[in-house]
Amino acid sequence: MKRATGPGRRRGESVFSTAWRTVADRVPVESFPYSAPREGVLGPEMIRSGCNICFNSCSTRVYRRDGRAATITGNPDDPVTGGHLCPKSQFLMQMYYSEHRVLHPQRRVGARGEGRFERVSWEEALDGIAEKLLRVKERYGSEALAVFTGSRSGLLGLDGTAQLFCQLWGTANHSGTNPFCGTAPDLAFMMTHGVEAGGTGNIFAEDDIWAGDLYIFLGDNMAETRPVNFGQLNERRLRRGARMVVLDPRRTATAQKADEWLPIRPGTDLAFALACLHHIFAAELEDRAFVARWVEGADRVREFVLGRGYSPEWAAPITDIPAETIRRLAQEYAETPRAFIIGNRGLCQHVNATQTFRALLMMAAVTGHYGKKGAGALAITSAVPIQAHAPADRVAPRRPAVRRSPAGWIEAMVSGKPYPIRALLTTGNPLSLWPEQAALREGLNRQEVVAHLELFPSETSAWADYLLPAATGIEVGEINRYAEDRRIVWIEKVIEPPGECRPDIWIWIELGKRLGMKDVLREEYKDPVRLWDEAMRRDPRFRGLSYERLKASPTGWLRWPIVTDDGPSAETLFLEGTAYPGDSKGRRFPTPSGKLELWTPALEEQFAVYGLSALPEFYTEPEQLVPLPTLEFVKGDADDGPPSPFWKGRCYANVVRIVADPPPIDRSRYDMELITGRAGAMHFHSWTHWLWQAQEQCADLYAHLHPRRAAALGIQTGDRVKVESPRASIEAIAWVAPGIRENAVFVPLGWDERQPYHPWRTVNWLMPRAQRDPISDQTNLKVNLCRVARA
Amino acid sequence: MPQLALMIDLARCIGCGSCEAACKLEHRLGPGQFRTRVLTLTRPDDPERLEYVKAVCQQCERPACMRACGAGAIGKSAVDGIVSIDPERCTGCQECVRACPYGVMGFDPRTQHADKCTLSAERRAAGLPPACVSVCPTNALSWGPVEELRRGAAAERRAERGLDHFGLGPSAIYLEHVATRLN
Repeated sequence: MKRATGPGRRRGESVFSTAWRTVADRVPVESFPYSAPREGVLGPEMIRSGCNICFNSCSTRVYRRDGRAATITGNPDDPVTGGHLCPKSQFLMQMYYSEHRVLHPQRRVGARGEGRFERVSWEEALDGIAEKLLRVKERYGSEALAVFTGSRSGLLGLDGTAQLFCQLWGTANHSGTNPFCGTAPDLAFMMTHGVEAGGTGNIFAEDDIWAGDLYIFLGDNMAETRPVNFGQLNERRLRRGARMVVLDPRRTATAQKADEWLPIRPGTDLAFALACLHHIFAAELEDRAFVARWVEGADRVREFVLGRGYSPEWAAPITDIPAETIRRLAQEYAETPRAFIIGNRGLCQHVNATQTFRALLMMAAVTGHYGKKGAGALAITSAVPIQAHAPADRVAPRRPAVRRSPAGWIEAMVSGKPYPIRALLTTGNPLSLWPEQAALREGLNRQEVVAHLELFPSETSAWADYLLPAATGIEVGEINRYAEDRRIVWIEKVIEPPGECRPDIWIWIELGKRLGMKDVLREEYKDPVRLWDEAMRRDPRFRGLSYERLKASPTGWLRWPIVTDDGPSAETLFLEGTAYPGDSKGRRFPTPSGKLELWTPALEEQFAVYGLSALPEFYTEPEQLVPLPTLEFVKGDADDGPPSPFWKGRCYANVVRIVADPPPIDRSRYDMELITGRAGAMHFHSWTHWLWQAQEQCADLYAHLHPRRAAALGIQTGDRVKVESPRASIEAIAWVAPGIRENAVFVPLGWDERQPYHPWRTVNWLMPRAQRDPISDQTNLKVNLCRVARA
Repeated sequence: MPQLALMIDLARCIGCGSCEAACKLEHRLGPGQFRTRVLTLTRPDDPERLEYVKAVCQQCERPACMRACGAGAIGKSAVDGIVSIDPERCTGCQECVRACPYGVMGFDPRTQHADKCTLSAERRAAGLPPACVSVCPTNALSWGPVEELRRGAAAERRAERGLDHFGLGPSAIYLEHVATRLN
């Protein structure tokens, strides 16, 4: 059959103009929505629901006909999204009705990694897993089980049933994606203003976040990671004539829209923040009244920053940003009352992540950009205090987790140190998204049982003993959270899952039944509404977020905290004259001192456990093109290490010291900065790679190179290139275009070797597992040295 | 009734592809079949910057596709100026696809006929905006009578990017980037 033609070229030009044709060749022409009936798609039944792909958490309307979802649209009654949607929400039905879905439980018959399976019943699969788990427990102890839940599992799976399962079983080696995502801002907010999530308390509203006169983005490509929120913010910015500055090694879609783009050296945002603080202190630009009344430890920070000489001149060669630019921005920020700092994954995925966020919050605090409408600091944070807990007498005793981050589990999987991990129950796709893929595969080979709960057969599935067909989103009924301004969206169940697919919560409850857990992992919790209302909303700040109220909300969401059954959706927090909702002492900032805490003796003591000071001394990754201070491990992943104070002792921590000289690396061979991130608005992690239309919009794994650098390397758009680090090498297709530091190459995340349209080795083959922030345990996924050559 | 058109704001577009997704979902288009695509191009005013340009039917005054069609399958509405295809008459020869200098004529591989943007005629008949306009996260898209759109843009002192390189009288309006503000 003759294939379609289409207009023009897109990102990558010749790369993608050929690549989308490959998608077309590999997709049955009948794939949804091609030629699906379009008569009456907007009827007859409209169900308010939500998108479950990313954490913009757009509320949606699903139109159902004859038990099938006919179409999905935005929700015009949602004042934050304004009824707009990004492409991903519109691919949802390609996910629900995909021909690639795993439909039946399967058991491995070939070697690990081969991907050969036989179909088994749910009974056989769950009985088999339970039996193997018991054997592992007997031989190695209960902590030898590690449980990883990807974001596809939703919070009901992650913090509900999987959490209960791990408490009853007796393992602390349980994590969601948080340590790859946003544990650093979680901790920075917690330390500074006393509670975990939700930025500095601001909300998307005309008189708050949308009212800024200056937005400074650092390591945040909001336009492609939260297109709807960015679009709504930028709309107000253009109308108001507000200024926007973006610090990013790439001129991302966000930076393309900005008034100013500063191509900062990756991993040095901490130096930028310290130099801004230096100028603010040196030029006496603080908000003295605010600092005197509301800030603890500002004097210590001032002494430290000035004493260390963290001046703009000091920062210039580190950050690659001229001193006068830093000074100008610091001045502008301090003197603009309505100013926001917005930082995200480009700050998180670094070894200095927690201190970088803290330094930015220090900037906000000493200039009085805190606890106000129209001023603050935003970051997508991971922690939402909605966790199910088993009764104390049913929580099995357990040692601290080997590490907070799954990247730190790899050592225990490989060498059995500090104690062995020998069983892995996982959702998501570690074999695309965890660092140091070679070591991870070695670790998987040493597991006595690996079970994978997923929608699509990924590279991870191929290494599993059991592949369990999961359900998601509107097949299940669950929540999504917008962690930047604390909205919780209820995703209503609209359709039945295909084949034998089951919700994660069903799978955990059924497995639990076989292991004597049914008194806590109760049968009735298979109903997500009961799990949410009866087991998960224990924190008083979630009292007013019942299913019934969420379902009745025309906006599709409620914003926490709501401390009474019928209280209104929360608005801006920490305003002067208010108390944090539910705070027993009536404090504006619920910290021990009731003030914003930049430095306290208690913080100093906690940081000392990791070998650091609470005062943010500058350090960065070991692999940089210029030698910069970095971390050296005193106790690394193979040691048991001290219980991590910021994680309430639930995991062991690495102990470090800051060293002036990084370990030697051959910079003549590894002469480029490798940076990673999202491919574009069409993809999220790896699961969108099974949706033909996402793959059509951005098909191939690309390596973005600056035209001048590419010319020097003799590389043109469309060439196959090899990207090599000291750990491994991968191949990708070159995309030569301006908008990136000349000495950097950008390779997006999310591909794997088993994807149906464009399989590639993930860039995480090149990422190290042991370069992590000791505080948050976030992994450096953002800067390593590499070399690029034609393949 | 005056000519209807799309207005595309280059200052707002972030190239996210939501309009493409909405178009495919609404019009039930398959793999490789497009009525619109978003292109990433170098900015004509700054070779160091990229811009995102929604390629879509320009609803030309003198459509090249119409002239190229030997079967008389393409017409331009006297009512609203929308160029559309009569699938009963279309032979699938693709002369129109080759003729369109904007490269925005699509093709339906199964029914073997040309396929193009009608500003979501079915939605407009039901009182709804075109699918792409309804989803755009950045409000980069608007639609309406072309002169009305042009007056609105002029009132906001927005410059238009002329794209009539081929003498076809394209109706779609592209608004230029706005100057950056350096403090």
